[in-house]
Amino acid sequence: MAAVRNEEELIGRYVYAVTSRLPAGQRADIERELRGLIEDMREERSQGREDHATLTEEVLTALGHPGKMAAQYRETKRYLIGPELFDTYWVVMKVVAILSLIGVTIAFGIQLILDLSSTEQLFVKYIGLLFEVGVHAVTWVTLVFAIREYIGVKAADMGRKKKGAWHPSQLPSIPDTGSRIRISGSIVSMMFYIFFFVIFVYSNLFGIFLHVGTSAYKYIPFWNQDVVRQVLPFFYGLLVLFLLREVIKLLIGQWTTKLSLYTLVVDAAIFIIYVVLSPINRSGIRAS
Amino acid sequence: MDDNTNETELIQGLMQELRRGTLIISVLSQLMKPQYGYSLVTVLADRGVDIDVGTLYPLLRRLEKQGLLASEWDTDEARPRKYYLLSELGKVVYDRLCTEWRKMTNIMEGLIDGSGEE
Repeated sequence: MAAVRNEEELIGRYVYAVTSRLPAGQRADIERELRGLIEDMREERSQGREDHATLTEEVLTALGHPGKMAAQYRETKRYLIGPELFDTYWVVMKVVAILSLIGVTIAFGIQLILDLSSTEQLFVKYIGLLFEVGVHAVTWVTLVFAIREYIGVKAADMGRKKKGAWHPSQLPSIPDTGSRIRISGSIVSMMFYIFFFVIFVYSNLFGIFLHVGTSAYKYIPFWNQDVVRQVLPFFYGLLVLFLLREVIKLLIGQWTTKLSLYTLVVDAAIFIIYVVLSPINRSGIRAS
Repeated sequence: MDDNTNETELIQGLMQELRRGTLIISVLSQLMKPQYGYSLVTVLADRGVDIDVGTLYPLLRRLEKQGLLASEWDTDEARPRKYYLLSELGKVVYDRLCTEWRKMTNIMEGLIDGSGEE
């Protein structure tokens, strides 16, 4: 009896391993179908044999890996980043990784020169920041490419449904070298935005230790931390605007009137934020 | 030795591609009367068509979604089974595919027979 229960469990596990990889709407039906199939296969193989113990295992082995089985049930392959974009994605990811590493290392190198007393602590912070920047970089790059993939797939679908036959006259004109947006330019811009933003957010890391009395040290950051805290939400907004601008540039791929307008709006927003910040800045200086 | 296994693998891969194109006709041809997935495997195997259940079951669902097959669960027996049957559309499509298949085999015969000539 125990053996039977084991077999039941094994079958249940296999069915679950397949159906859990499938869209919820199809699960119940496919589960029923699979269970029926497994029973049929067991029955067929059990004829003229005595050792039923390994029967279920045999059948499940014949059915193959549940992941492969589920993949066959799924109609289309789905990608976060498909094969067409993956090569570019990988190049961009490497560039961003190298830039992040260089950026963070330079920042901490400067700090090390300024302050030799807390090398160990600094090293721990360095590793921490490296990790954090890495997570940011991977997330943002992946997000941008996933959106591109998603838009690309949607566009391809719509094109197929709407237009019917494709004609060479639909080919878009080659953008002038002047109006073409270089991917590398956008990436470097984004890196700089993020780099300065990170430096700003961690501005408390940049400072010096001053002698107070004979043995005590006092740590003084270069930036006034009260002001930094006040201004931070604006900076978040700015970063989003800046990154959005670069992402849109990457997506469109060439300078257009719309894009120029959007850039203008972002620049105006930056100006307004600057105006808003000025009084805070002054009062901040006065307070300290 | 290595070349031999490579050659076998290559041929097996190409054979699989060839067979894949014939699967739909094979399946449709046996569904004039209702069959459930595993009975179809057996019927096809008896006729010399070896089809993997992992390929057949999803294929049946796809053909149903395309409207070529109709399905019904039979829950009267001890084991519930999903029976598939050609739909009206399926019959029309199957006939058309058969015509195309015959045309294709004729063309292929011509190509293969004429391959040695100049």
